[in-house]
Amino acid sequence: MKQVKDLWIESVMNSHQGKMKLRPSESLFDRIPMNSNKVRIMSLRQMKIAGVAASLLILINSVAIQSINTSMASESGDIAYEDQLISDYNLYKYE
Amino acid sequence: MLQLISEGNELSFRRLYDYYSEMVYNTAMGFVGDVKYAEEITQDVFTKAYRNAGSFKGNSSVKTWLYRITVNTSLNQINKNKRHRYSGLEDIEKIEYDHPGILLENKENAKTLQLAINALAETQKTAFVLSFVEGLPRQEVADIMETSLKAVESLLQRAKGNLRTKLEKMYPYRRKK
Repeated sequence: MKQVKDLWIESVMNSHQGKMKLRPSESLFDRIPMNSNKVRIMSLRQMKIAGVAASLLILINSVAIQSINTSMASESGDIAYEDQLISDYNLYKYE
Repeated sequence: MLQLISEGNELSFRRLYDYYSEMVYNTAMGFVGDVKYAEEITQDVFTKAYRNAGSFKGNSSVKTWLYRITVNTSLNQINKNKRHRYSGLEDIEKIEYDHPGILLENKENAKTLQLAINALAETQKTAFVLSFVEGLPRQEVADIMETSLKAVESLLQRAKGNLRTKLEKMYPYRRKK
């Protein structure tokens, strides 16, 4: 019994003997994605420049937004004043 | 060649593929024993090789580098399959085994061996597949695994011992059939 079992184990262990080498399918190469997500390695200098550029961009944008807010606030004051004037012109009620 | 590939030279990449695709594919087959998964692994390996050609340091040969990528990708695939399909040695009927290169009379035994190999620790599995399934010289296996020749021999001894134990447990299954 043990001998039969040992023989079976040996035959299982050697089951890859005599196997043929295989070739992948012809279409496999075409399925390899190229030119996509190609990793670009940046140097430390490039990283620093990119960081400074990003900070500058944020600073310029925040200054721009601030100045727009200021001008809008003054404009809204003018509009309120104009509204008041117009209502003052409305002397006669139209019925 | 890898320098050219890193610059996007597709002709060089095609040459690399033509030269090594069989090696990658057969090694993947040794690990997973299934045409569908071996093709997926081969595709993954060459995608990684294409994307990372620029980071190849030249500390090893291109062949060894590709073998390492193949081994890692195959082990990942096995782990993925294990999570989805395998749950232990009892699942002999469930494992997907389709190796057209194996002789017909050895197919069932090869499937059993594949199942036993799947249950080995990753380092033992790698050493066993590269040495006994793919027939690579021990020194080449040591280079791929970035370890010493002595360590590979020790891994192979343990792998064979563990496989024998696992196969002994699987023997009653075969007797029932």
